[in-house]
Order: sequence, then C-alpha cells, then structure tokens
Amino acid sequence: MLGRRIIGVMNENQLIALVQNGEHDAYRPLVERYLPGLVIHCDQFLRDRDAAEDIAQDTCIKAYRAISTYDAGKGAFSTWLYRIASNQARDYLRRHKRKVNIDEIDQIPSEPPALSNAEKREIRAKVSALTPPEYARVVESYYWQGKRYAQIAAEMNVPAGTVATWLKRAKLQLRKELL
Amino acid sequence: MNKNLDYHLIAARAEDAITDSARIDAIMQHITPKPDRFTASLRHSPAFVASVATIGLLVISGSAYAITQLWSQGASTINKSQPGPRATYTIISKDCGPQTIKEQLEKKRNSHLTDQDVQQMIAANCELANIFAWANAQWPNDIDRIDHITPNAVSQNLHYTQVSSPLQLRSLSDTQLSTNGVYDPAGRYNFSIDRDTQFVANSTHASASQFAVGDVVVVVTQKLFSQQNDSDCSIRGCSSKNLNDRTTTKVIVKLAHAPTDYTNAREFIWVGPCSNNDKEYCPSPRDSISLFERDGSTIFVLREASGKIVAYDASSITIQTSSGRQLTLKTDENLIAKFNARTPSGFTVEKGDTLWLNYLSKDPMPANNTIDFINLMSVRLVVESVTDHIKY
Repeated sequence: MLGRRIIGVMNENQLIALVQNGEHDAYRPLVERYLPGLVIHCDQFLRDRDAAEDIAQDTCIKAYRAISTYDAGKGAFSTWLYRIASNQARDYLRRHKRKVNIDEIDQIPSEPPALSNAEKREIRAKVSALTPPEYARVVESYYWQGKRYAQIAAEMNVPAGTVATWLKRAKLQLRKELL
Repeated sequence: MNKNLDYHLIAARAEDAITDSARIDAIMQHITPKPDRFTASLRHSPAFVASVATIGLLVISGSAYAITQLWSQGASTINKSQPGPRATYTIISKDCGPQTIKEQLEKKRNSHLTDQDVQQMIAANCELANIFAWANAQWPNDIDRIDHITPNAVSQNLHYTQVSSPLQLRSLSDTQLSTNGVYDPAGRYNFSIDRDTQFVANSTHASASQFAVGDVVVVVTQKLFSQQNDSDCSIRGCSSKNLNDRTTTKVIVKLAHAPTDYTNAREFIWVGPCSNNDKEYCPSPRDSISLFERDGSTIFVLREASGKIVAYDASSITIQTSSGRQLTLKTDENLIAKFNARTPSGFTVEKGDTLWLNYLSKDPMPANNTIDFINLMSVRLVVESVTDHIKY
C-alpha cells in the first residue's frame, strides 16, 4: 500500500494506473477531485440535491468497480466518469418516472470544459475578487468543496435562503465577467 | 448559458481544494476491497505441494534449480474436500514472499477442471508471483523519495515499475512486441523494445529468438517521470507537474504455462473471511450479479454475509451461512420473485443458490440473526457458470 503522502502528489494517470493495479487508496484523490462537479452535474438532470448526491456517489462506486475497463487511449478519465454519471442520472429519471423536459436535458453539457491552467487561474481570480467577499466563499464552498446550501449557511451563520441569493448574485457577476 | 457557467466553475476547481470528507469517506467505505485472494497468490506464491484429502495425498514438489535461476519455483499444499455439491480446495503456499498464504477455492458447479488442472493453475500463479517479486526487486519504485511540501522543489527523476498480466505474443521485432491479453483476448498491448530490453525464459536469461508467436509472456515496464512542485503549497501538499513521462520495457518473460492455466481461475469462486465478519466466509466480488442495491451513504459499518438460500417469501429471505447459522433478511417485497420476473430464465434464483449480502450493523452478528431491510445495502447472486450469461 502506498502512503497517502505519495498518492497525494501523483498525477491523474498515475493514480488511475495505481487503482487499476489494486491500489485502493489511490482512488480517494480522484473522488476528491471529481465528486463536487459530479454532484452539480447530476443536479442539472435531477433538480434534486439529495438524489444528485446519491447518484454522484453511486457513479464513483460504479466507476471504481469498472476501472479495469477504462482505457486512457479512448478518452479522458473525466469524460468516462461524467458519461457514467449522465447514464446513472438518466436511469434514475426513468426508474422514478420523473417527467422531464427533453430539450432541457439535451442541453446539459456532457462534462466540464477542458480549461488551461491559465484559464482556471483566471476564473479563480475572478471568484476571489467577487464583492462582497461572502459571494466568493459561497461559490468556493458550493462548486469546489461540494457543500450544500444548508452546510454553507451553518458555517456562515446565515439562513440557507441567503446563501442561495448570494450564489445567484455571484453567478450574475461572474457571467458578466467570464461568458 | 447558466449551465455553462456552472461547468466553467467546476472545471476551474483548484487541485488542492478541500472536498467534504464525510461523503468521500462513505464512498471509500463502499469500495474498500477485501483482499483479493487471487492477487494475494500472485504477490506471494512459490513452492507447491498438492495433497488431495478425499482422494489421497498428491505431491508436486518444487524442482531443484541451477544457480542461474532468477527466481525459485515454490510449492503449495492443496487439500480437496467435497462437503456439498462443490469441490472445495484449501491451498497453503509457503516460502512464497514474506508470509504463508492460505486461500480457499470452491469449484463452480459445472466446472470440468481436473485436480491436475487445479495444480497447474496454482503453479502458474505461483510463477507469476515470483516474477512480480523479482521484477520489483530488480526495478524498485522510488516514489517514496517524493517531496511534496517544498514549493518549487528541485525536480526529481522517479521510477514506477509495472508488471503486466499474462499476455499472448502476436509478433516480436527488434523494436516492438505486440500482444493480446490472456484474460481479455480482444485487448491488444504493444511495447517498445530497445537495446536494453532483457528476455527471460525458464526463469533464466534468454534471447529474443527463444520467443515465438503464441507464447505466454509478462512484460515488466518502468515509467520514468520527473516531478516538480508548484509554488502553491499548503499544509495538504502542493500541486505538481510532470516534466516528462517516459515508459521503457525492462524485461519480457516467457511463462511456462498455457493460457488456460491463467484463465481457469474463473472456474472457481474464491472465498475468504467476510468483511467485518470474520467468523464466516464470503465470495470474492468477481462473478456475481446484483439483485438489489440501495443508494445512499452511511456511517455504519458495512458488513458481509453469504450463504445458501433455505427459504424466501415476500417478507424475508433466509440463508444458511458457512458457520451453519441461519440468517434472515427481512424484506418489504419479494426480492427474489421480483428479480426472477425481470430476468432471463438462465438467472432465476431459487433455494440452494448462494447469495452474498452487504448490510449495515454495529455488531458482527446482528441481533436474532436478523437483518432489517433498512440496513440492507445489496444482495448479489453468486454465479456458478464458467461462461457468461447463465447462472450455472
């Protein structure tokens, strides 16, 4: 077993190779990296945070069980993972006979865009510069740390509705700056 | 547009952002593997002696080897018994890596493997284990030297050694080896060969001319990467970049056994102590199909149990476990009838079939040997077939 200290510095391909070779702990940083995004992705389909968290978790478990079939030559790990999540979310909608707007579902991106490091830094800088600073904190907590409104609200000692409002306003600011 | 902003924000996440650990812990708890007995044998095998209890004692001794042998051939003791419809083999491998390995295999109902086949399979995997140990001793991984907390640390060259699974040789030239997977014949795996690539056959140094199409080989490769930390270090570490990433083929080893000696493992159910329930035996995760899975996470201990179905109806399923106790799973619907109704007839579940349960319990043995449905996480049917798509 490799120590977490070692695993912590390996790049994604090295981590995947380790997991494929039975190094179970190497999967943890991959989950840490992708879980918040997967939850938000699933929430786009389901509009139900509880279900989205469950489906994202299930995605990570299913991906782990199938990781021997992942072939880096056929696409990025993130593409593979998000495809599993999309299929899981669609299955969930079918199983629960949820009525959905097909056009809306079709518009959901298949995965986050591949950004350069410079682009990522730029977005993070724009987030940090949001005013008031609480907006930055809710964006970081929600998008990057995978926290729920209620959790963020408890940490910031404000009602959950306030968090939702701050997030909405933060996105309005960011949309002007970034898109 | 709104969605695109969401996805841009997701993509911009910093490598060292901290994710809610409770949910990650729940996922890691779900996927925590039991020791894979097959892998364990690969990593530790050696000498083999086989005794077949109900038939008589049979001994396959390790051979004497010349000094040029790169690894020893080992010996194991194989005890066979047949308490039920399936033959059960208990294998003890000694002098096989740092510890004695004991593992238990149950032959699937329709397997036609002979005891000789079993011995060959064990010997083949013993050889793989020795190659694995030898390769890792020859080309050690040195990633322990990584410094992940010094900003802009001087880059270091680091090695990562990988031993392939068995492969079947398709072509061999001065510059390239092409193979198919033994476990996955449709898989194609190519390796570059350079002047430093070694060839080994019969556990001694050999030449490429001793290799032919159809030979079973394993390939040891080593990845060289040079890593440097970024300046964004925190108490959790730094993000880092690879300055280069190069893989070389160190050695191609010709194996002594036929491909079937490696693939025959699928004719067995590998069993071992159940997770968080070491009083009983459970199958390894391979070869089973899901009847039921519960979504969601938990902080309770996930435990396993396995046994043959002795009764089931709309409110319960009762199994008899390896210790002889009867364990009753309460259900709020007839899980088995429901599964059978939606499943091809080749997989219909009935009394006598083996189920494998994952459930939540604070105690290894649930009260009254009863599992409440709310604590059930999954039910799987252990597949007895040696081919796909049928139960037996």
